[in-house]
Amino acid sequence: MRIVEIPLPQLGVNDTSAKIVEWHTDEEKFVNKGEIICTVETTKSIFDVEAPDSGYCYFLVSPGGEVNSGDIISILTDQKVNKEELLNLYRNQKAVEQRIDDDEIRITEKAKLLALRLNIDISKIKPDNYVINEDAVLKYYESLRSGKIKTDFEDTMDDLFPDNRVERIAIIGAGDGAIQIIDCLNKLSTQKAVMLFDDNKSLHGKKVAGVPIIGNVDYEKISGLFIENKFDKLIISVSTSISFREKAFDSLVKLNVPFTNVIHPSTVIGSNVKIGVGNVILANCHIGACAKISNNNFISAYCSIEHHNELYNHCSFGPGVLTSSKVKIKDRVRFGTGIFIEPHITIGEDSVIGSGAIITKDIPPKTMVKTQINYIMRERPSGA
Amino acid sequence: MISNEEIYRQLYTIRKTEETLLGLFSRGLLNGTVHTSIGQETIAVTIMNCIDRDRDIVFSNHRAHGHFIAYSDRVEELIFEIMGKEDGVCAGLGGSQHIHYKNFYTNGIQGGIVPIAVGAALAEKVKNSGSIVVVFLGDGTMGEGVVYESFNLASKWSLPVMFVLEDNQYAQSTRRDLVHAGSLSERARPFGIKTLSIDDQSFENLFANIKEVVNFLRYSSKPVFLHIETYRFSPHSKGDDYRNTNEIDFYKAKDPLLQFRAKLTEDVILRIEGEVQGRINKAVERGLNKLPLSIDKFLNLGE
Amino acid sequence: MKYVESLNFALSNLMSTDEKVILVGEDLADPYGGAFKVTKGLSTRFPDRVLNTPISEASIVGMGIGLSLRGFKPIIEIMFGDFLTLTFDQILNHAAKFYAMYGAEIKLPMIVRTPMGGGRGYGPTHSQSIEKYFLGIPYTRVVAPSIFHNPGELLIDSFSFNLPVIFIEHKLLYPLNLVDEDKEIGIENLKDTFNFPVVKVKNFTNKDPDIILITYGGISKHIFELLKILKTEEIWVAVYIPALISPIKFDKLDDLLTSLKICDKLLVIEDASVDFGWSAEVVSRFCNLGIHIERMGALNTIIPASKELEGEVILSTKKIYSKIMEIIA
Repeated sequence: MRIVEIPLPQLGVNDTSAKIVEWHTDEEKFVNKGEIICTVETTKSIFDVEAPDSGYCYFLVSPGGEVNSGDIISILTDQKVNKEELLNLYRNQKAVEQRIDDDEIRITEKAKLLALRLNIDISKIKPDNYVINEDAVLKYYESLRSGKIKTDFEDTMDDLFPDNRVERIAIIGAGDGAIQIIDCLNKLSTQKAVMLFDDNKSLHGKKVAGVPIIGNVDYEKISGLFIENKFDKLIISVSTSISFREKAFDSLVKLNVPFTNVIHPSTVIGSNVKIGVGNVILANCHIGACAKISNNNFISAYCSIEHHNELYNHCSFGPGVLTSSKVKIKDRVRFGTGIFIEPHITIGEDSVIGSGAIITKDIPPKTMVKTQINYIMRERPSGA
Repeated sequence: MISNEEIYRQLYTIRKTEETLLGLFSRGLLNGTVHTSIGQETIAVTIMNCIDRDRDIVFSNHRAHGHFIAYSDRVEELIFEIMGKEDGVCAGLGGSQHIHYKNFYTNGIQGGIVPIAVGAALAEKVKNSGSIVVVFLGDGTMGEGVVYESFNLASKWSLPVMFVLEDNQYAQSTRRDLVHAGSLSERARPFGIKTLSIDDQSFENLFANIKEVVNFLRYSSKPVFLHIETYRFSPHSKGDDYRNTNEIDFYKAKDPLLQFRAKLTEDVILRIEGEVQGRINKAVERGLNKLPLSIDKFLNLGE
Repeated sequence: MKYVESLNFALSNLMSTDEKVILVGEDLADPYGGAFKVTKGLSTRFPDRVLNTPISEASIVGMGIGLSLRGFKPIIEIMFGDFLTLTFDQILNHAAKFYAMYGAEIKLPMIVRTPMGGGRGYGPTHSQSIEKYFLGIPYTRVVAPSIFHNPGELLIDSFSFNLPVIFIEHKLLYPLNLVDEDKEIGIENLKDTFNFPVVKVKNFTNKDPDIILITYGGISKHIFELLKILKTEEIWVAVYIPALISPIKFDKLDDLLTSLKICDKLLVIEDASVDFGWSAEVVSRFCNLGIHIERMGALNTIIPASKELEGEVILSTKKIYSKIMEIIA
């Protein structure tokens, strides 16, 4: 059965409502298109309403009733029906139309705004009765923050061991030292490099062995990232500049950012060894029993810190530096490669020991030791 | 009937006050400006002595000193007002052009006060008080539209308004024939308003006519338009007189004040003038020592 | 009760209790009863005190001033607010001056009431909201009732100032029902420092507002619709609507200042063309609070007769909605 609605026509500018004065036909009577079916009165005038189509006419408003512009005052049908049944049918049809509109989820403007402000993907929120409101967004946000729901960012950190968190390490310096450290970390199951910092802007956005270089060595920023829980510990990969190592270490410690140690698994560490933080110890090193290593030292491969040694802070070792027992190395000493140190020696702070030296007596602070070696060099003959 | 002595005293009070004010300006003792009515005093004195000053209402304009003195005799307060002192008629706030005292009101906008006068007349008519309203116009005022709106209303509603046109031939620096079409004296007649054209040369004539007009107003409650030909000897405000001095001298010779001098004896004249001068001088002296309204009081007038 | 009925009843009550009240204006008499029917029935009841005047706006107001000076309480109707321009000299240089310049001794109770506003397609000289040119005249008051106020009561209270009052009725409000309570919005009656009502309407309870609005008069029609729409979108709005719009005596209202501490976004809205208007003055009162303030009004042009164009020039619920969403984002 077809139903045609007759709305109250557009009224003049002064009125938004009108009164039904009288119906000019009887209910259920058949009216022709164009026939006047009722008279309507506004504050300024009286006018007639025509039937837009032909059909059996049923009234929705009684005479004297007030209607607003656009309201449906009567319906026409192509069949004669019982009025009550007709009204039910009509109302149901209207309700169905409404539900079709409603199948779309409604998100309140406030919910949209909040989602924008809080950086939330609103499509992840489950609607309640087809509506997503401010409360729903806030609840979702809360559950994100408390860690009950994983975000993409955290997932990549925890992808291997969701239950035992791997120590996420941020590396300062993206040069050769970093490569060595990352190589080291790749062998370690409890530590992982997650980001690097380097003052060379051209490196930003690039990667070292898959680990992103995200910005300058900006202590405040690094501290901020730590507070935002973007990494767990720091390590400084720069081995060439001791002053840089020391400054970076001290500054970041002051900002309460913690350092870790990165020690290659092939390194043998003896009993009762005490190691501070911020130390890098690369492959195949030997730390003798009861040795004490303080902080922020960079020890290349094949070095040996023998038993009862005391290594202070911020020292840098080239490969193959071997100490004997009870050697004391103070702050900021730099070693070249292939160096041997006899027992009970103390090397004063800020000294530089050149490659190939064999240290047989104490070295005072701020001393440079250079080994003089005589070479005979000549061009290698061809064919040999 | 008012005595010649009294009339002369009133005329001379106005004349002397106006001259004194102009003199004070020259001596740098006054601030602002004044519009003096020297030469037109007779109109003021006549009208104020014909109306009932206790209940009738007067609306005037920028050139109101004469009207005010004839209405109230408050010479001292007028001088204080123009000096801007707290003891002035309006606490020094209105100054020369904006005065209110009892039933006397002035404002400085040409023609603006005319419909207000008509409203006042309506009020009195509704109250059945028997009061009449006098409103002073100048030839210049006849350029303003509201004047004609007022004629219409006063006539249609039959209101007791005496429109007095003090036609001194000049609006500031402009001669009336340069800016007015038609006849000024015929302006109100088309509105059905009874019109009288007269000049201020004979006091008796003026007095008799105005007395009649006042009666007419009071008992018929219909408006009247009085067109009075007069002349001012003083400049429009001060120092801005470009009229032909021959013309001014011509009218000075016919100064209506002189009529009264002629009627009185020398000793009476001297006495009156002496009293008036003394009074004014004293007022000036007192006024110069007075204070203006305090700024606190002014800012707390009761917003 | 409808806005226009409130005025009509108040006039009727006022005239029956106070014989000093006189109505003056054009076409006031029955059966016409005024261009917007505000004075309907009054000339029949009080034939001597409803004066039908010729078309002389300046003199109509001038006469009102004269009546007031001599002890009456005139209510002067200017048929369209647009014609108020013809009365400007009488208001500014006469009515507004007499109290102060005459030494603060006289009383001048008088009301000039007039309909303002567009939305009916009447064209550029019958649709303006030019109360803005009458704001800030010392020793006058401008009162503009909204649908949340009681216009009739405000009319009666306007005499209490004993100074000239310009009473602004937005013509679109005449047929609307006054709103003093509603299921969906909260309505609170506050007072400014002249004891005139400031209505606070809001669409929330137990929440912090997202934005504060200050507006008056005809805009209240939009506010009523808007608050409900914004409620469904969970945008929480508190609106302060003063009845006395000049002088401004609501800028130190505790409730308002507290709201502005909680919410740092303020939008001031007026009917009139926006530049140099009421909203600019209101904004200046709050510009030191360090909050985000904006204002909006009609476009700075004529109000054209064409329905669509008129709709673009004057404010609509939709425009206000968009502006609010823009500020909150």
